[in-house]
Amino acid sequence: MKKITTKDLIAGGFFVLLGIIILIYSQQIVLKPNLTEPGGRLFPQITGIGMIICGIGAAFYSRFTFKPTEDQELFLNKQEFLKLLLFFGILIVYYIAMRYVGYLISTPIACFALIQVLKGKKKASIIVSAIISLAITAILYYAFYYGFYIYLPTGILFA
Amino acid sequence: MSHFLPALGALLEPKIFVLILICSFAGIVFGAIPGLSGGMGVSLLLPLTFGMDTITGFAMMLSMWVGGVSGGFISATLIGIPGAPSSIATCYDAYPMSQRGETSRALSIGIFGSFFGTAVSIIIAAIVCPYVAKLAISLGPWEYFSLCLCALMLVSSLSRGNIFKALLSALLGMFFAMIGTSVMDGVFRFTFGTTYLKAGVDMVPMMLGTFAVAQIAMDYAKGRQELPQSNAKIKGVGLNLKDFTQNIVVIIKSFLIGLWIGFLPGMGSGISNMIAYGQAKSGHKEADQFGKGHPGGIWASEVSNNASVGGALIPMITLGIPGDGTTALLMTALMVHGLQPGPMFITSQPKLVYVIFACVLLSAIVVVLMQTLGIRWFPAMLKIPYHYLFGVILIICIAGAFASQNNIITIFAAIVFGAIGILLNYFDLPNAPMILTFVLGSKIEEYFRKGISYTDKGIMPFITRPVSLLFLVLAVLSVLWPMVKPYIKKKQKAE
Repeated sequence: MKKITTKDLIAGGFFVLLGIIILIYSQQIVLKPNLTEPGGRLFPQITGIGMIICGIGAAFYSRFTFKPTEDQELFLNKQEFLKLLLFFGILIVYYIAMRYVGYLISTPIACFALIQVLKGKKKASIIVSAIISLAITAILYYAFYYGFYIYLPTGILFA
Repeated sequence: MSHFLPALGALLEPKIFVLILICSFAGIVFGAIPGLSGGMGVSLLLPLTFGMDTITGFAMMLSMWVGGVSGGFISATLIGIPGAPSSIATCYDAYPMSQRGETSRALSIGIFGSFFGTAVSIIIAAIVCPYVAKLAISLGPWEYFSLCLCALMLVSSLSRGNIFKALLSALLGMFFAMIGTSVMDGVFRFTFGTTYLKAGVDMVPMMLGTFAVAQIAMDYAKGRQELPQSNAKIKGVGLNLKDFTQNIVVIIKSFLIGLWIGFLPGMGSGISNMIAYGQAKSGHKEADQFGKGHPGGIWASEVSNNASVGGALIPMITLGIPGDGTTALLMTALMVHGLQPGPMFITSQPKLVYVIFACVLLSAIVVVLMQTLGIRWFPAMLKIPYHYLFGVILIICIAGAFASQNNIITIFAAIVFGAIGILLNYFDLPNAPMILTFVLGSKIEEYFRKGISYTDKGIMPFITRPVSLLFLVLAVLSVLWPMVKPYIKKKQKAE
C-alpha cells in the first residue's frame, strides 16, 4: 500500500508556507515607473508560486509513484539531536565570543572545545588539543594578517 | 600553444609552484579521507584567495580540486569506503583486489587511471573551448536564459528520488539569489529592513555552511567520525603494461563517458564513475569477474571520474555555467575577482584561461608523482585523528567566512547555512540544485528581463528563436521525464 510519508508532508507544507510568504512579500517590492521589462517583482512571484506547486507535489509524490513505500529511517534520535544542538551551541557561543572578545581569545577556546566534543568516545590528549588549538589560532592570525591583509575581529570590548 | 607556454611559465614561479605542491597534497588527503572531499577543500580555500592575485588563487583551488578527485580511490582501495562520491564504483573492484593481496596493483591502477582521465580531458578542453566560445558569442539573452533554465532543470531531474524536492531545492537557491538588490532596476528585495542583506547573500558562507559545517555536524551527531584502519602491505608499483593494454577499450569508453558527463551541467564525477562502471561491466567478456577485483572496474571508475574535471571546465569557461558543485565554487572565485566567465572570457582573459588549463595539467602531473612516490604511506593518511582534523577545519571555515566580507555577520550566516544544509538533509532535498541556482540565479533573471526589454515582442523571441526553443524543450522534457517514466514502466509491465 502506497502512503504519503510524514517527512514529505512536512517538507511540502514547509515550502508551501515559504512560497506563500514570498508571494505576499513580493507585493511589497517597489516597481519603478515606465519599465520596458517585468521589473523586480516577477521572479519572486515565480519562485513563490513554484514553491507552492512543488511543495504540494513533493508532499504527495510518493502517493503517485509506483515504487513500494520504504521504511523510513529515523533522521536523528534524541541523543543525536542533542549532539547536534551541542555542536551548533558551541558555534553560536564562538560567534558571540568573537564579537565581544575577538578572534585571539575566542578561537583557541572554541577550537579546544570542538576537538573535545568531536572526539566522541575516543581519547584525545588535553595537551595536544591545547597545542593544536593555539597553533591553528596563531597560524591563521598571521596568515590572514600578513598574507592576505585581512584583520580578524578584535572584539567590541577590546576595540 | 602561444598562450599555453606563458601560462605554464607563470605557474612555475617558485611561490606559485610551492602552493600547487601543498594544495595538491592537501587535495589528496581531503579526497582520501571519507567525509572530506576536494570540493570541501576548494570551499575552504575560496575565502583565502580574496587577498591574492587571481592566478595564485586559482592555482591553489585547481590543484586542491585535482588532488581531491584523484585521492578518493585511496580509501576505496584500502578500506572499501570511498573517500569521495567520485570513487564509489572504485570500491567494487579495488577493495577485493586489495584484499587478495594486490593492494599495490589496485592503487597503481587508481593512480594512473586518475592521471590519464585528468590530463587527456584537460587537453581536450583546451582544444574545444575556443570553438565552443565562438559559437556561444552568437547567442543572445534569450538563448542564455533558456540554456541556464535547461541546465537547472537537468540538474534537478537527475537528482535521485522525488523530482519536486529537487525543484524545491532549486527554487530555494533562487530565493537566496534574489535577496538584496535587484539586478536591473536596483530595488531592494527581501532585505527585511536590515542593511546586512542589502548586498545580498554572500556565496562564501553559503558554500562553507552547506558544504562543510552541515557535513561535519551530521557526521558528529551520527557518530560517524571513526574510520576503519587498513593493514594492507604495499610494495612497489605492482602495475604492468598488460593491465593497461588489456583494458584499453574500457579506458577509452570510460574516458568519453566521463568527459561528456562532466560537460553536462550538474553531473560531475559523482555520477560519471557509476555510469562508466556499469558500461564497462555490461560490455565486458569477463563481466562475471567485475566486483571481485577486476582491473577493468578500477580503470572505468577512476578514468571517468577524473575525465569529468576537464569536461566540467568547458561549460564554465565558455558559457558561464558551472558543470558541477566544485566548478560553481571556481566560478564564484572568478566573480569575486571581478571576472565573468562566458563566451567573451576566453578572448578577454586568454592568459587566465590557459593558466586554468595548464594548472590542471600541472596538478595532474604533481599528483601522479606524489602518489607514485608516496604509495607506501597511503595507509598513514587514514590515521589522522578525525577530531583534530575536523576541529581545525571548522575554525578555518569560520575564519574564511569572516574574511569573505570582513564582517562578523558572515560567521553567523555560515552557521545558519550549516543548519539549512541539515534541514535539506532532513527533507531529502539534494543541495546541488540549490547551489547551482544560487550561482546562476541573478544571471537567469537578468537574461530574461533583458530578453523582454530588447524587443517589443514580449516572451515570443524565447520561443521563436530556434536555439532558445531547443533548450526550452529540453528543459521541459527533463522535468517531465521523471514524472512520466513510472507510468510508462507500469504500462510496460502490465503488457
